[in-house]
Amino acid sequence: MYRCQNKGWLIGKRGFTLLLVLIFSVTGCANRQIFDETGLVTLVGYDLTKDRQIRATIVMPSINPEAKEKMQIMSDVGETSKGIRDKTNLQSDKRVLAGQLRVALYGNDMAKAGIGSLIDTLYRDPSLSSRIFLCVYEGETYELLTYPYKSQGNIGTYMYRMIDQNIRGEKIPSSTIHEFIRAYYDEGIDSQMPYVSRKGDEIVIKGVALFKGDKYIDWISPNEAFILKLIRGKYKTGSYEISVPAKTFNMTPNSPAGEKEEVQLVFDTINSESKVQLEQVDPPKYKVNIHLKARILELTVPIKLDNPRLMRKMEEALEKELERQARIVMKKLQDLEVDPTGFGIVYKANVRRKEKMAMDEWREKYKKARFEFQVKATVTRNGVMD
Amino acid sequence: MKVNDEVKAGNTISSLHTGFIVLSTQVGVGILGYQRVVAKEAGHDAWISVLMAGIVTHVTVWVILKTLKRYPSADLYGIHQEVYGKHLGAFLSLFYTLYFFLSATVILRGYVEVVQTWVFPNLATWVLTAIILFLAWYTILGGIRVIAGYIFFSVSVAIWLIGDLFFPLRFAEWDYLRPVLEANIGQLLKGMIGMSLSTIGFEVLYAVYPFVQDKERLNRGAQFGVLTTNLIYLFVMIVSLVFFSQGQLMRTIWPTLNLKKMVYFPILERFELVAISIWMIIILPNVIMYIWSGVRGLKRTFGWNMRNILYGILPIIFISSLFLVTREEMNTLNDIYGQIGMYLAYAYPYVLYLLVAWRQGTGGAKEESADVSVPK
Repeated sequence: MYRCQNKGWLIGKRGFTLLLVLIFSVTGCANRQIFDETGLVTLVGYDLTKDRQIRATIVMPSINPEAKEKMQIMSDVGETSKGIRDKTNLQSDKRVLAGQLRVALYGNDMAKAGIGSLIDTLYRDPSLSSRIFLCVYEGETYELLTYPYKSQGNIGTYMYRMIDQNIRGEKIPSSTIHEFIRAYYDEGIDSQMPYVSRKGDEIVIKGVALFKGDKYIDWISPNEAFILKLIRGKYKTGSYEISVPAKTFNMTPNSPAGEKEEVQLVFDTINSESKVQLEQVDPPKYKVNIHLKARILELTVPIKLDNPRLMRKMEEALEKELERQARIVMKKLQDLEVDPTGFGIVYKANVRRKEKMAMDEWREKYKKARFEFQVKATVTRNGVMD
Repeated sequence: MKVNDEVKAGNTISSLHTGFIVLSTQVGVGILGYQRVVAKEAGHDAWISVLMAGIVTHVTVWVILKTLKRYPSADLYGIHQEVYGKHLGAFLSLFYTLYFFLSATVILRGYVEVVQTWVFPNLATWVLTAIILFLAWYTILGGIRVIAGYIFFSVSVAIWLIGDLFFPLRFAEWDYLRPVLEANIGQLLKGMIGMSLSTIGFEVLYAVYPFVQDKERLNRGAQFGVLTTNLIYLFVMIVSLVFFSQGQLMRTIWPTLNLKKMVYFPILERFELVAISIWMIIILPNVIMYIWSGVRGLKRTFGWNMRNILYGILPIIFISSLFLVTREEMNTLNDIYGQIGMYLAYAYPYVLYLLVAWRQGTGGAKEESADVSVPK
């Protein structure tokens, strides 16, 4: 291997070794980033100030053992987010780096004004991950982040874990920055992200915020979001609670509050698949077939579930309820003129065209679109009891 | 100069090694960003363009080998000499040689740009360029067998990088692929041409040929290399098309690296940084093979000493890569290079084959270019 003794090597063995040493030492010249000297931002919140500037609030864990607080929160106002980062650097004893950023929060007013450019800068920066979670807060994020919580610890990682585990548990749709940018630059779908609020000492995911382009429009409840995902998507471990008229089971249940008209059923480990077909092009008419399997987990009436007829009734009740809910949700979305489900993608996939469809064109079509839902539900198990 | 180059039996490589050489020279810096170039023309049908480009590559490689097989052990430069005569032949060989050196420069600078954008924004261009060129120089001095060995190592070390694309597949939107064949044939062809920057590399066969031991099995080896390349390109393209929306893809410079951004492990959150570092192992064979092929050309055409040529050419590559600074310059250079590459790697082999066939058919063939099927 080492053939430097050969004649004809112009620089010889010594020169070769010198070059090798030089090259290995040159690799040490790269910018070092020492952990103790960097502040790792885990969360950033953006608000719109009254004079239409941006206020950014950043949260980073403090690793100073003498400090009482476990985290450091800094905030400043500016025109661009990276400009603010430079300003916050002036408030810190450490170099502020955003490579560990996990959650980007947008205040209500900011989100309504449009957040396209703010998200673009996060996505453009190669030092940031494309798995950052985006989130809308119902008020000012500054107020949310500076509130003295008792048990949340580091609010940055707390919020990350909260969103992450809810996405994994399929309670809310995934909202990474990649998915936002993908929907933002697509002509057939609108973005959505979690909608967070604060109740006293607790931070709650209140629902799902709907976007039109890069502007926040309205929010829907987790139950409505569940239906949306059911319409076009897959469930592996979802769960859902429905109310069924008590008449279905020919009984009037007694509860502590007296007689009730309705029976509540809770299903979990929902496994679903959906098939969306475009039946008619103009105006668009969709047929949505949903197959789901679920396990019944809780009933508010003591029914014995060994009767197949009864089980079938329960399935039918679930099917009807889901179909009804789906119609209501889609009506709401059409009135809002947002398409978070991506029916536009289905439309594009089924209609051959010469030129690309513009988003405005799709919105016009979307308003007139009709939907037909057909749910086929199977209750596979009922726990360990009949 | 003799048309055929006699290579010592101890200095040959097998046909399978040649397949690896073709594979690793084809896959380089182009795979990081070809999706956008192709999809700009063919839209979501870009994968069909990739498929078509793959088939054309197979045919072109077949023609190249067909040309070479008309000689017992000649390379491009020897063939040039015979077909065009001494002066014109030397001129064309020089041109092809310059193209090889240009390839090495473009790939080298392209990789350094990726490192500067993604990993070390403050890194001076000369540092990484110098390191890579030093490694290339060291390997080339070892001879073709060392190069082939290194390339085998590089492919085995880097091939698993393709497996991590299953991470982005979790975000796949398969409806993005429909309707199939929405693009018309003209758009597909344009997309195919856009692929040429990424699929060229097999033309080093022209220079390697004399060193191949089992020439009668070379077709199998080389086509195997091309097939692997094509499958990789096809797979990466399909994953990109379902992972990105079209508008997003148009704004992404290196989609393959954005795909790798979705890969993460509990102990390793930013996999793309690892991938970019490993990419150096993939880039090096490109640089090595192109420089080696060019140097061979100068040696064969003008009879110069290979080491001296290296000492002359490496500084030129080094300095010219320092002049490329902005993204715009890189884009222009890539476009020009893709064009030249398309003509020299895809169109020229057919012309050369016809010329060789005509030359030998009219009795202009010399004795030494007798039938090939006789093993040496």
